[in-house]
This record gives sequence, C-alpha cells and structure tokens, in this order.
Amino acid sequence: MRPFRDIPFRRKVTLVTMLASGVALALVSLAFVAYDWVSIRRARVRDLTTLAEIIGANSAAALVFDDSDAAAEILAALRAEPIVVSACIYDRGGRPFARYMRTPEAAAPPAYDPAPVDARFSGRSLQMQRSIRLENEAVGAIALHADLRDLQTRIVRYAGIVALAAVLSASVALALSTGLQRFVSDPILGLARIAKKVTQEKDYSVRGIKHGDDEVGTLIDGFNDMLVEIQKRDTALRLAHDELEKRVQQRTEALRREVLERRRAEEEVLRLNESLERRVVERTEQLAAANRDLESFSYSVSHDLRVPLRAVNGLVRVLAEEHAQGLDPEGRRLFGLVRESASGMGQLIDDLLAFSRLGRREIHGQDIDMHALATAAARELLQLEPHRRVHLDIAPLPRAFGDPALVRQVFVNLISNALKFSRRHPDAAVRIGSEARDGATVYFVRDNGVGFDMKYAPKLFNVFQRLHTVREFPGTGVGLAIVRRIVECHGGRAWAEARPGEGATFFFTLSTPGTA
Amino acid sequence: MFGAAVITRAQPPPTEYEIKAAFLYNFAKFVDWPAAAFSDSLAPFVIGIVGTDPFGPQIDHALAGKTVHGRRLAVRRYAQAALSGGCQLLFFGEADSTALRRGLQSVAGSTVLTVGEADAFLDLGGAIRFVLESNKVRFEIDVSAAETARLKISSKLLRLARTLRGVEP
Repeated sequence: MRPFRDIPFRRKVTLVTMLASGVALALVSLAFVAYDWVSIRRARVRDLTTLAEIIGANSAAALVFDDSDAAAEILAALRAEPIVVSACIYDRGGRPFARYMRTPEAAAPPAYDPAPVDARFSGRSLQMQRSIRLENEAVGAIALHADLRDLQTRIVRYAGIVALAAVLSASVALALSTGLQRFVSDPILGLARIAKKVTQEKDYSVRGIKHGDDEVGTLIDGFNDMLVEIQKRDTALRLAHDELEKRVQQRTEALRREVLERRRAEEEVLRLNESLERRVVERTEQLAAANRDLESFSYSVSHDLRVPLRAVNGLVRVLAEEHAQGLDPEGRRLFGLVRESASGMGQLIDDLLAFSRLGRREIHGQDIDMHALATAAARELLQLEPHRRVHLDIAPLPRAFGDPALVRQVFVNLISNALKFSRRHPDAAVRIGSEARDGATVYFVRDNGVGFDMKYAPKLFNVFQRLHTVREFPGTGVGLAIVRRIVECHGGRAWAEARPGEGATFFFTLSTPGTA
Repeated sequence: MFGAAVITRAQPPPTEYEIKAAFLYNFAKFVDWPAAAFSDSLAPFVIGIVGTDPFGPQIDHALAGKTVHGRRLAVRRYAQAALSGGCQLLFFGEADSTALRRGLQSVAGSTVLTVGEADAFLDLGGAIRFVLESNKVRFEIDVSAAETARLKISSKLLRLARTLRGVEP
C-alpha cells in the first residue's frame, strides 16, 4: 500500500474529508447509542420504581391486615407488565409475604435486603427493592426482578439503525466530498500541471489561473510572480549567454588571427634567419677568400722581396769588404747603417714569411712533454747571450697535446721577449710555470722587466704592434702575433698581465676546456 | 427461615385481640374523617372502647406513641356509647343486641367509625365487624353506615373486606 503522502492530492482530500467525517459520525453514533443506552436504562429504573411504588402502595393495606391472598392478587396485576419476571412482597420482618412468578421457571425474585440499594443491574436483569410505607411507617418491602433483554434488543436495533444512518451519511459525504473537493483540489492540481509543464517544456510564459483569494490563490499568485521572475532571469541569462558566445567567437577569431600573424612572423624570422645564415656563410667565404688572397699576397710579396734584398745584402758585403778603404769615416758610418737596415729588413721578411706560413700549415697533434720543451727552448736562447746572467726558474709543467714544433715556437717567442725586456734589470729573472684555471691548464712565462701599461694589452698580439722603439728593444713586432696564431690554431688563447716597471706575465692555453 | 424462627421463639404469636387492636389502629389509617370530627387541630385521634374490654392494658401499651393522620393516638374506655363524645373510632365489646342497638343509635349521626364483633353488628347499624376465617382475623364492612357517619373508607380497605354491604350497584 502506498504511504499517505504519495497518494494523489484529489484522493487525499477525499480521504481526509471522509476520515474526519467518518470519525465524527462514528463518535456521534457512539454518543447517540451510549446516550440512548443510559437513558433507556434510567427510564427502565424509573418505570420499575413507579411500578414498585404503586404496587407497594396498593399492597400496604394487605400487609397491615395480614392478607397475603390480597397481596398476591395485587402482585398478579404485574402480568400486564411483561418486563417484570418475578416479584415478592416482604413483611416488616423481611419474611416473604406474597410472591409472583411470571412463569414457573422464571428467575426467583430478589431476596430481602435489609439495606437495599435503589436498583441493581446484573447481566441482563435489573433488580430493585423498595420499602412499603404507610403514613411514614415501614410496613414491608417489595422486590422486583425485571428483564432487560428487550432493552438489549432495542439498543442493538437502535445501534443498527444508527450504523445504517452513519453509513448512509458517509456515502452522502463521500458523494458530496467527491463532488465538492474539486473546488479545493482543482486549483492545486491545475497549479501542479502548470508546474510540470514549466519543468518539462521550459515554457515560462504560462500562468496559473487564480480561482479565489484563499491561500491557494496566494500560492498561485506567488507561483506566477516566481514564473515572471524566472522568465525575466531566463531571458537575461539567454542574453548573457548569447553575448558571451559572441565574445568567445570574437576572441577566438582574434586569437586565430593572432596565431596566423605570429606564424607568419615566425616564418618571416625563419626566412630572415636563413638568409642571414646564408649571408654569413657567403660573407665568411668571402672573408676567407680575401684572407687567403691577402696571405698569398703577403707571402709572395715577402718571398719576392727576399731575392732583391739578398742581392742588396751580397752587394753591400762585397762593397764593405773590398771598397771600405776608399770611403771617408762619414761614408763608412752611412754604409754601416745601410748594412744594418738591409739585415733588419731581411729579418722582417723572414718573420713575415714564418707568420704567413702558419696560416697554411696543418697541425700535427701529439703528446708533448711541455717541461722538456720549455727547458730546451730556454737553454738555446740563453746560449745566444753567454755574457748575461739571468735567473731562470722552470717549474714542472703538465703534459699537453699539440704540434711540438709550433708549441716550441711559442715558448721561444715568449722566452726571448722575457729575456729582451728584462735586459736592463741588474738581477733579471724569468719564471716559467703553470696553473689550473677553470679546469684548463694555463702556462705562463714571467719576467721582471720593464712591463707595460695594461691599456695596451688588447693590441699586444697584433702584427707590427710595438710598445717600444727598435732602438730601445730590437724586434719586428711579429713575435706575439705568431704566438697568438699558434695558440688559436690549437683551440686555446693567449693574454698578458703587466705593470709598467714591474715586469710582465704572458699566459696561454692550448685547448679550451672540454675540447681537448 | 432461621432468623424468623428465632424471632418466633423470642416473641410468641400475637393473640387474637392483639391483632384486633392493631387492626383498629390500621382501620383509622384507611378512613378519612372530616375536619369537623376534631375539636381542634391539636386534638388527639381517640380510639374508644365501650362495653366489655377484651383488649386489656396491652392495647394501651401497643398503641402508645403512635399517630394517625398526624394526630397523637389516644385510647379511652367508656361506660356507655352515649358518653363517647370526641371519639373517632369506637369499638363495641361483647353485649346483648339491645344494648348494642342503643349504643349504635346514640352515636348515629356523629363522625364515628363503629367497629364490633357481634354477629348482627352490621345489621344493627355498625360499620365494620371482625370475623374469624380459618383462625385469621378478617372483617366485613357496611359502606352505607360509614357514609352516614360522613366517613370515607379507602378502596384499599374495602377490597380486603370479606363481605361488603351498602355498596350502590
């Protein structure tokens, strides 16, 4: 069975009405029957009392004159009262005086009770005893035994009639409530239908029809107001949704355009990059070609210059050996200057040739004992200046990988520089060593010579860059350039640290970290 | 009944005249006297005995303190009926017919209920006569005699009478 809260409203109204009216009817019927039961019992007691009084009054004379036959005769009048089953008149002493039995097998009359109650109901019978008085003097008593079965029959019949009436009333009530409950349920059912329609079809334009100004009317008003509000919000929401969609579309379009633009830009960049690279390659090639041209030009110039210079040198020597006596002292001095210049020029050409040869040469890399190499180079250079006293200090050097002939040239150039620029120092010292810097081995050659100003450091390693005049310190200005070229061919670099008057240190590495 | 037996043993059955004395008192209750029968409202109800007194002092004892129709009961004895003025019920004791007739005639016309025992008591003009019926005291009534005395006898009493006289058909 469905719980009450789930049954349809229409039936609920009917049910509630019927329940209420049914209970009311049942209570009323019960009250009717109960009232009737009480009142007919009371009436029965009253009737019986009256009967007892009458018979008592009539039999008083018989009692006082001790005439039990007359008393029995009076009692016999009870035959007219079908409810009295039996009766007995007692004398003043409580002795039975006269007796009445409706039928021989009828229930015996109540026994004499010295302290009688008014009436005593027992089961289906009513018993009663009244005293018989004559001028305020008790002369005896009368006891009656009455049957109540007729009352029961009557009450049952009455209850039946009441029940029938109740059922009839209930039927009428059912018919009425079925008919009338429409006035209550129709507006609510209509509202429910509209609510369902609103939910299912999302149609917020429908409105509940108001039937009256009761609470249901208020409910319908509230519902309609709510619908108006919902409709308003729905419209607003839809508008907002459309607006949002439009904006999303616009934004998407803008983004798409932006992406396209960016892609185009990227392509442009790529294209530019490519052209740039191409141009770099081209330019590099051009530069390399120019370099090669330049080198071959300088090589050929140098080489071609050597031939006439050698002739000049040869001729100057012949002149000096064979015709010196013919010249005055001034002529001899000038002649000497010519010889010096020619010899210097030859040296310069040799150096330039050596430098330019480096650009063509391939590197034959192998393991190098740097210490032995440096030591040999230093000894060789010192032998050229046997009259000099130089303090030479060569620390143990780690081995390296490279072209031994070229690396030897590096040491030769650096050591000869060191010896040259420390010449004026009375206690010249040259130190060769190494240190680890950023994972790479840095070799250095240090002197305590004249040094230089660090602002010239960037120019030091260029060809023909000289910080001193030839008269101060002879040289062609090519040595450090050669050093740099060799070191760079090995993947390393060269640099210098110095202070004027406090000596200089030249560093070089042979390979950048990680490439060796 | 055991209780009744005990009572019976304690109180011997009443004698004939004890019963008759009670009957006299009870007759008074079932008869209406006109107001003129009494000298005033405080006058007692007088039961008179004339002639031979068969009751003896027991009647005075039995009826002492009783009331009838709201009046104190008094028992008086008279030598002659003619002397019984102010008496409402008069019992005639044993006497010869002549004496009875004279006595009854002397009270005729006054509001006195006459009660007697003689066989011809009613013939002589008396109202109530005691009879014995299978050893029970019963009585006969002459209604016309009572009516002559302006007395009204209750039908309840009349229905107990063994014989009724003077009733109009």
